[in-house]
Amino acid sequence: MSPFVPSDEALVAGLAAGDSGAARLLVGRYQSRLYGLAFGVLQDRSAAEDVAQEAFVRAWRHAGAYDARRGSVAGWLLRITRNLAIDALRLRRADVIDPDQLATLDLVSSTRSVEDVAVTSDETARVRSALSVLPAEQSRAVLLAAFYGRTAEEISRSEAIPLGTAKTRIRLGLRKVRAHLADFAATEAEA
Amino acid sequence: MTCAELHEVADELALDVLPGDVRALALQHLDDCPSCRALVEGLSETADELLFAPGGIEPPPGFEERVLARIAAEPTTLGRPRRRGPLLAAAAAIIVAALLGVGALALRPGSHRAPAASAELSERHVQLVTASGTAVGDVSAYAGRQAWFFMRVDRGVPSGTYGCVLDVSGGRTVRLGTLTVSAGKGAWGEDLTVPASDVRDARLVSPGGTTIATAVFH
Repeated sequence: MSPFVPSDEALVAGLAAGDSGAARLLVGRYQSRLYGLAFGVLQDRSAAEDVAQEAFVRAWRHAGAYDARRGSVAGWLLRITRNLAIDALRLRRADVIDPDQLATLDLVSSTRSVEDVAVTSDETARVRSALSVLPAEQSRAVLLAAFYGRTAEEISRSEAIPLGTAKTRIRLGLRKVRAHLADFAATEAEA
Repeated sequence: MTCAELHEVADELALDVLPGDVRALALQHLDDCPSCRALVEGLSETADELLFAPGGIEPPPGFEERVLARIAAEPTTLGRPRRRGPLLAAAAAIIVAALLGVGALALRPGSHRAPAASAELSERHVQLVTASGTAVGDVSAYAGRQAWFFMRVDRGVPSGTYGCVLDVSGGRTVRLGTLTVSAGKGAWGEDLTVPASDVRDARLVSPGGTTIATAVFH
């Protein structure tokens, strides 16, 4: 009999059934990712903890609505976290938020200390690699939309570019990332 | 909204940054257009993958306990609707899941859950094997304060709807539900109405009652 490692989907099913043991396993499995994403967006440890905590509570409440056909558990949890982090950013709208700072790629590399980055998974490496080959303006547009919830119109304003250009940068950037990730997947399948 | 118009906004929709009015039109279009739906699903998958970019950072000490304390303070299962529809619907999907729980019924209405220690959990996980010895999937029983039980088929079974049967201690047979296999894959979940430790084996059976594959627990 092989050791049993519950799948992510099984753990979410456990949450839907009200199993706090499943919740403990899921929190242990994803806490660094969710906190890492929240910190990446908010750049504030306290706010990041609040967001990551709330993301798990939301997952607990809404586990029954999780639909595996619409994406992975990891993606579902990260999207919950991302949306909460964006909400938290909007609440701080009164703060001066430098668009340049928001759009920096800090959240995908450089300024974190080595000890901060506890988990650099294969997925992280693949996505960073895919982003790194984009023209800077496309990467910036994609990151502004993906991590900060900026609409094309908002990007148009903050980047001082026509709306059509903002839309094009988002479209081309996301599709190039998709193509690169598909290439990675095909290469791995061949290996 | 036409397909061409949808393609213009598909990426923003996938990134969840499309303004509400256009978003509503786009979603309406997707309801009736499988090809555009597939496009947006693919782009949404990429949008989700982007969120892996920051990588992980260990949260402050005590984070896990604080989360679990908040969860424990949430209303019990008895206080909220059980919405297993999407999970069960997902049984026909490539990605598997399933699930259940009877232990929560032991909780008193209004009581709060206490976090269960992982050590309290026990599990069994065995392959689902045909009479000729070919593995076609697996079955797992997870018996904590709440028991889960799920069956997964991931290869070698023709598309169709199959019965899921448990043989339990004492010679009883319990027919619990059906599993739909599509493109070789499917999964099934249903409330386990017997103690997980009593399950002798789980069988996948054809509509005519023929056993297709068995997972032997004891």
